[in-house]
Amino acid sequence: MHNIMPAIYGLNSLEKSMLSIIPEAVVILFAFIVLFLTFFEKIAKSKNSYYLSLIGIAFSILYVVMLSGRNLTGFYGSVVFNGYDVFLFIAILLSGFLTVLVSKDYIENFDLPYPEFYSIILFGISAMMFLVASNNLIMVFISLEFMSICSYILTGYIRGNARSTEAALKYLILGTFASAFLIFGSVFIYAAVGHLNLNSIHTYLENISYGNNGSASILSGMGEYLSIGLLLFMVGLAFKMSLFPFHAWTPDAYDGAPTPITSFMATGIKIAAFAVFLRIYVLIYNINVINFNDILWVLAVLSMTFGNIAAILSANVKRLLAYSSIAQAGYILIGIIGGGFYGYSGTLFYLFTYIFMTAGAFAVVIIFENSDIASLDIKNLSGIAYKYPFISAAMALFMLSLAGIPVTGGFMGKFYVFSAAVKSGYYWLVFIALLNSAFAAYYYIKIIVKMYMPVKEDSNVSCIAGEGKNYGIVNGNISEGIILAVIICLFFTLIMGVYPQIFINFANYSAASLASL
Amino acid sequence: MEALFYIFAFIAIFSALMVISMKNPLTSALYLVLCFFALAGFYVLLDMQFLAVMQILVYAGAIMVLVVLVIMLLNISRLNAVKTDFHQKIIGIIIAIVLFGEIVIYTVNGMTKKPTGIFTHSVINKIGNTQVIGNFLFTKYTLSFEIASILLFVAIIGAYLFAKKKL
Amino acid sequence: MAFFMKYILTILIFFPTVAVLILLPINKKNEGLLRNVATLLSLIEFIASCYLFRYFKPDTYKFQFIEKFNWIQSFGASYFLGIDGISLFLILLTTLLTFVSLLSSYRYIKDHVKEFVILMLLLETFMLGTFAALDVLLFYVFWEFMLIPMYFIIGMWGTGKRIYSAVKFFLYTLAGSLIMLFGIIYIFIIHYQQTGNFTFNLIRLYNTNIPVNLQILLFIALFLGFAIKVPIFPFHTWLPDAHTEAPTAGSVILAGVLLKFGIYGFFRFAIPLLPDAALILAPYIVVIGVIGILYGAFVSIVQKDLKRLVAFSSVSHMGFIMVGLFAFTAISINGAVYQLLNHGVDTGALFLFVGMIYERMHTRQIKDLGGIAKKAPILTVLFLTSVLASVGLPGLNGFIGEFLILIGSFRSYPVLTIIATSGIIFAAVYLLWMFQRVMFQDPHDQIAPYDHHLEFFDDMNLREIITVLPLIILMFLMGFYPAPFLDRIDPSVLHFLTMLNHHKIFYNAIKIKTGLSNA
Repeated sequence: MHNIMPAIYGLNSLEKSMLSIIPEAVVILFAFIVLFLTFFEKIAKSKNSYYLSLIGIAFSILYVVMLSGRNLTGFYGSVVFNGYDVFLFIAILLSGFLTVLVSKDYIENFDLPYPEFYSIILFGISAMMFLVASNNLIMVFISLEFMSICSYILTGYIRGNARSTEAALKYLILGTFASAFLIFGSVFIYAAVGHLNLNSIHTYLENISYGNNGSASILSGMGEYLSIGLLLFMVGLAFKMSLFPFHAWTPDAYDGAPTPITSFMATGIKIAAFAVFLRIYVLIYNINVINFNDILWVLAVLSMTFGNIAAILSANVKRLLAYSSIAQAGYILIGIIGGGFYGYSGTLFYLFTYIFMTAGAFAVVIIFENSDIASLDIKNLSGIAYKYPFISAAMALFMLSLAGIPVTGGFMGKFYVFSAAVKSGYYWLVFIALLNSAFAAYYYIKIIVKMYMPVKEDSNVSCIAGEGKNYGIVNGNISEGIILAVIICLFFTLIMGVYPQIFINFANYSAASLASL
Repeated sequence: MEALFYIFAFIAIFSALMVISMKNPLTSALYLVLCFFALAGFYVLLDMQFLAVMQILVYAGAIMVLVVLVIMLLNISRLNAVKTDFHQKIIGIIIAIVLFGEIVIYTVNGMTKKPTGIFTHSVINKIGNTQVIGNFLFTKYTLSFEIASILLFVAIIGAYLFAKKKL
Repeated sequence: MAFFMKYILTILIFFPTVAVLILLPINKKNEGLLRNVATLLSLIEFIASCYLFRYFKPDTYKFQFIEKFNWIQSFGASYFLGIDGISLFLILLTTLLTFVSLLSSYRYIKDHVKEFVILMLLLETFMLGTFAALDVLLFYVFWEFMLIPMYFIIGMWGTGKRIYSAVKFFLYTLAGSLIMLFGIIYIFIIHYQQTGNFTFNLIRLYNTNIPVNLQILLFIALFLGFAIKVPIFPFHTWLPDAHTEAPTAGSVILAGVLLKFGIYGFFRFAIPLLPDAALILAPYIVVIGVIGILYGAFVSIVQKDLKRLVAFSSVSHMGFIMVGLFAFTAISINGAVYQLLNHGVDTGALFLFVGMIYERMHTRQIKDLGGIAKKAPILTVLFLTSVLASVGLPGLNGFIGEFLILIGSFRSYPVLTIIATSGIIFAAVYLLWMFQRVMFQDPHDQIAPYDHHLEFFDDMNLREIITVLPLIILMFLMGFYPAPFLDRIDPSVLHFLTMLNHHKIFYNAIKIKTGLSNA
């Protein structure tokens, strides 16, 4: 029995373990530093926390880049660091970077306590990174919880605002529910296979399904436990990915949360959830216990269709983007269903484009919110393009990218995942998805119509800050940070549409290390 | 042993149901304490006496006392009638029954041979209960343990942010 | 110069984008400067594109001015440009019409001039790219983005129900394109499964062997995309709205260039990629084309709105072109391509004149117009020329195209061709009747709320004459001396037919080689 007890750390293994979590550790370190600023009133009130957070994220990106190419496993297989993580860490850190950039104005406008705000965002980023890197079921659960706790706090951050509090509460209750599903699922999986480590589960299953011929008898008992475990686990993750039947928290949480946080949730959390799902999918789901692709097929179709219909009906920009993010989750899922190296790489590429178009759209929403429009009804956007030509042009481009029009990253991403699905023979799925994109174009276009083509009657509605103002202090500040965020998003959205090869290579590199696990 | 398991299971489910169906928050809280006790019973059955004690000390003891105290302080005697949509209730019950049925069918049809982990009675008795947990926490799951600590820290900050009147 | 000739297509395609960058720093308020610079740049673009004509080798079907660079290796997509006789003239038409429509909008477009010229130039980039692309993905990128500037042009400077029309235009074409994208992805994957490598290279995709049943499904997918753009009869409903509400420049580009993309797509992509399906489905498509001819003509007769009338006449004309293309004889396809150019010139000119009348009278209702001939003789003469060209009067360009289509198609579909011929007669009816009512009818017979404007109806000024003059010259040139055009079109058409001929189901008619180049 002694071999069960792990040996004392060798220095080498400790070093390796530490090395494998350096990017997360750096973010956490800066989160603490930012948090300690609150002790010093004068420092806390200046912009230090903002810059420190940006520097922290930049440092972390630096470490990721420095470590890239290595293949590290740390803490007895709890976390791994390889090409897959490099890609997703950079994606998550960029999403966090953009969130911090756009937060400053918003915080000043709403007079929110800020060192804590940035600190929790940093904690959230590190949680996402842990989630992506985690390689056993306990780590997945813990880091998912960590991520969720951060997002609950941030969602309810506008104190005294009923909608924000309501959003946080709903999110908390449904999120806890999801976590319960997740842990219930893990228990079943553990009961079936007796391992918590994803790689061990993978090898165990592979031995059973491809190994000796007498495998059927072993599988017969285990199969049910495993499949119910995987189903429940998927439900837990589907909450975070906001796929259709598990989406209920999404519109309210997105709508009520402070807009930078909405952006953070729509990009960071979604990416992290998809990334961990993809990893587990490749390692466990893909080994035929039951055909999960059929279930995912249904989820994808439902998410796209529901998301698009609900988005068409919504009159508020933030809500519209929330529903659109549900539909987008459906599109991303198509890449996973398509499967294979091509499909996984496509999914990662789509996730990467998705960051920039969504974060960009929310950045523009924040600018609108800060300067003119207290309520974000679409009809209040009427004619805004003539007031802010650059910002509106950027918004139009983000909308087109979300709709999947060429020359933008959105098109390339969609093309990539759709062709992966066609390659695996999912013709109807792709056909439905394409019809859905045509359908979805309507509401993206609706925003552009309002911005650029005001009708006489409602042109005077816009720019009245007093009317329909629910909350917030509007001071009309547009700082360089937010403009920088818009420019970054614009640049990436365009470059990924015009010359995506570099990003595809990056995604391929990442998918390769995923598939080789 | 088997009979004990079913008794504890019944108590756990029953008390959990009572927690959500009682109108008076104090009664709910007390049922929750009962639920925790039942869970502690499971741990004992699994030879995890240390966990059972922790469960009772931390959850049933410390946390629930705090909850009861808060309920007393806030003087919430009775929840006002919450508007519940009839449809929601019906749909909720149906879905719950379907899910429960599925799980039951799966488990019944599932393994005939019960799965056993590495830690059987004899092993645990040999090494010692607390040592096993300690060993795991500080070797294999150190990272999870550490992250959990940060998680709790962030949760505290969150609670502080929500609760404090003026920052 | 060598550099210029080597990368001429790239330079042509992206020159308008560079022009946009030149225009960006100019102050919004300085509208005159913006207009002049944009028009001048588009004129330079047109002159530069004439070099293509000058150095184009007429005696080969092979693609010329080829440029090929890696673009997305993972998909096997490349930046692959090249033109043959057909894309050559469509490119020339595009550059010419962009210049013309920029020049024509000096009076019509009054606000947001900067946005307008920028969008027009952007549109030009994407239109040229679509015609020059030989890589399917590249083609699709250009093809679909083209919608955006057009959508803005209709929505921002249109009249009446402009937003409704713009959104309808956008969604209709987008839906078609997305279904087409499905077909493209499918063909791409089939090619991958057969050869083991990804490619979007059109010439390599031509060699894909697809089972006939699948071909038919895929053809329907591509057909929807292209047919909506053409537009063919049941899919035409976006066209009258978009045309009617668009500003003059928008209508000119829409009719002159955008409608060509559908036919061009059939010619370049749908038919050669899926030849068996094309041959099988051709009779049905010809029937649809004939229905389109008659439908367009009948609906035009009863139109009350001048611009809507011209728009519906487009439906009728595009029907002719579809018949010509799908008759699959050398003469008829030559005619179809020729008529494609004619339609761009004639209908473009008609929209210009309608726009001029609208600028002066502020109405497009035929019943409110009348008596313009007395006030504006130059306008009348030039307008009459383009009306007659559109009707198909011998000596003007419309005649040659329609004549070739009809003799060519007669070999394959005699009965349908006879029915289609009646379309020409109806064209004469609705166009000439329209012309009579708008120009000569005594305005005092009508209750004409706008007739006081007629007092101040000024004739065409120099700018307007310069605007339409290239088109009028082309009408005569193409009517009297079609050889330079047909010489260059013919080899590509014959090659197109040989590609079809490899697929054996059919046809003797193809083999009849014509002496068109001597005509």
